[in-house]
Amino acid sequence: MQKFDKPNRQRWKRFRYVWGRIDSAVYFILLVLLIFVLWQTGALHAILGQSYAQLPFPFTKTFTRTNALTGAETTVTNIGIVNYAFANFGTMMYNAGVTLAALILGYLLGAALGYGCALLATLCRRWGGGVLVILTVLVSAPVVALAPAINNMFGSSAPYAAKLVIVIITCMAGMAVNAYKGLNTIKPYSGDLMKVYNATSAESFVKMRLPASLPNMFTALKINVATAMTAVFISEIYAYTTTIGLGKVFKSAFDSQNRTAAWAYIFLAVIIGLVMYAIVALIEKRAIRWHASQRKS
Amino acid sequence: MKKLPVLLVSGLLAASLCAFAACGAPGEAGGETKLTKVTMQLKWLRQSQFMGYYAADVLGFYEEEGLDVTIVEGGTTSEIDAVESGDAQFGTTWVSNLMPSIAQGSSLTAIAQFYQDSGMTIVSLKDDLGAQTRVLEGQSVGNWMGGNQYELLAYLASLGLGTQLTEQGFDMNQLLGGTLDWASAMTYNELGLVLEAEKSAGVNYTLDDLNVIYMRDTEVGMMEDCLFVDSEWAAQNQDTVKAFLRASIKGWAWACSYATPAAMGTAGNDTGTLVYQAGDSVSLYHQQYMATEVAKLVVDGVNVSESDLNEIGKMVESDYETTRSILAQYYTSGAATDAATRAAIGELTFSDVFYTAFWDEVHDAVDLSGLSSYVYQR
Repeated sequence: MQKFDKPNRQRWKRFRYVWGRIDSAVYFILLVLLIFVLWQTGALHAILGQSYAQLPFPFTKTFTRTNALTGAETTVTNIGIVNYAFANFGTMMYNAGVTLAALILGYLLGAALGYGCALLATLCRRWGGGVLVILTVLVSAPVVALAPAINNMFGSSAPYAAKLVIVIITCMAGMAVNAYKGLNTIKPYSGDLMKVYNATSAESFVKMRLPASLPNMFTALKINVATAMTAVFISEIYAYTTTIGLGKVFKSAFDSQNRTAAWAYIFLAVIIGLVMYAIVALIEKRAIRWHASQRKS
Repeated sequence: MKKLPVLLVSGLLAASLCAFAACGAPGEAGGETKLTKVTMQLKWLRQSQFMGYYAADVLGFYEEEGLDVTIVEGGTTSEIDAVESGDAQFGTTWVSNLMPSIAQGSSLTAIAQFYQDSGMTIVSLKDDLGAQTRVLEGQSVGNWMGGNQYELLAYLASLGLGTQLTEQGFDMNQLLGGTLDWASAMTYNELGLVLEAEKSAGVNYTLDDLNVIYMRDTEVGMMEDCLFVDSEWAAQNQDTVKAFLRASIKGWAWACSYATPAAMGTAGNDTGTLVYQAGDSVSLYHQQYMATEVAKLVVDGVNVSESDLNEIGKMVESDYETTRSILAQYYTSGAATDAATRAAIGELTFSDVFYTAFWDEVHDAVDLSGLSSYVYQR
């Protein structure tokens, strides 16, 4: 049979091997393209029940609209979210930098402090539970309420500090709870193994509990990417002495009816979040190669 | 059996949550089903800035026209978004806020212009700057930005000064504390806050202690609070729009006629008291102060005749031209691509923004002779 001659069979096998590695990425790209096509042609507007003015287009689009009362026809050009982003690339990157300065530092500090609280809770059991409860209660307050409160306290004199504090608070609790769970969930045979090797409690803590807490720590880090981004964005929206930062520029665009700009900033925030998540996932892959979640399915 | 208490408690919690949710949901309208339900979205908090609508609501003018109006206060919602998405049928905002939306293709349109004059001022303390009639070189001028700054930019440019504005908070602390030379103040709101502030122990500021530049006395006053609707909805509900407009004109007429209280700070048959009872976002004194100042912007003059009251809401094309030219020059959303929006704003004609047919038809027909028969009962 011609189809399965030796050279063809090898090509088919190679194709199937390559396809197996990239098929999920290809489907994803196709889906994104489909959404953009639906969006640009206006089908998405019809599906969601939005008018062309309510939802801006990804690329430049000119359309006419008829005034229902006067019958007058006007031609309107929407700049398009992507075109806007490229036209204002410098401003957007500058504001992203301002936000990232608070975001990354707050994220890392929040993770460190949260892990420290979990360590405290594990080592000193009597006070530990109390610390965790306080943290959980503190972060149960919605960020939308917490951000203006903290801005009022010291947002006008130290806007950067206010942003940092919000991110730290929101990231701490998630990390503390997850790390505590990781530090205190010991597989039975691991504990026994440490006893067999006559390890001191300090050694068994460092060699057994700390590595065992890493998977939970990475879970918390991944969740905290979204939490930190939300917190810093909202904190910047409510700041009134500064004019820079993604949240602030987003709010100015929103207030002056520039929806294209507002959407561009939303997309930028999403992309930043995705990049951060990808970085954390990559580090996780290398750091906890031994864990069940990193097994190739 | 061990699991029963847990199941019971979680079941009770879930049931109580559902009960709370049901309590919060809008209930059935009892009795009257003939009234048309509409929602009005305000630009800011419940205050005398919107006294005409509150008067029409509380005194029953809307009910007389067959409408059941829910007035929603602003501050957190964008009134433009609320009307565009259909959450509200009517909205009030500044014309300079509405025009960028219309320039970008939205189907909103203004149907009445209640504020005939601009209420924007800039204020400075005579103690700090001496007696001044204009802004001088090097003095800092503040504004809340976010669409409120256009008149100031045009004013500074007309004086030949650099158009640099400092961002101002929503209180007047920066002016009173000395960090700002000139602060923006609406005649009916922030100016009142300064007049209520203490200059020294027990003594308040008076107008003599302040330098006030009224934008309405300059060439750069812009149109402010208008009533707007979505033109597509309005085309299909013309009778509702006319009914709302009639009742609103009557409401504003009553509110302006009864804006001056018998005694400031005391509740009585005046607009300030009515608004305060409907929404106490600020004190009774401040609501009354605001009402007296707003009335000056809605109807010109002290001795107002009935025919003047019938002109409430008039849309004047020359005022629109000033607004359009200033906005086309100074509109900004902080981006390099504003040039396209400014050009689009510059091309908007009077009839693109204002649809006068409704007002032309109803304003003379509104009967404003019996206003004194409506007494606000506390």
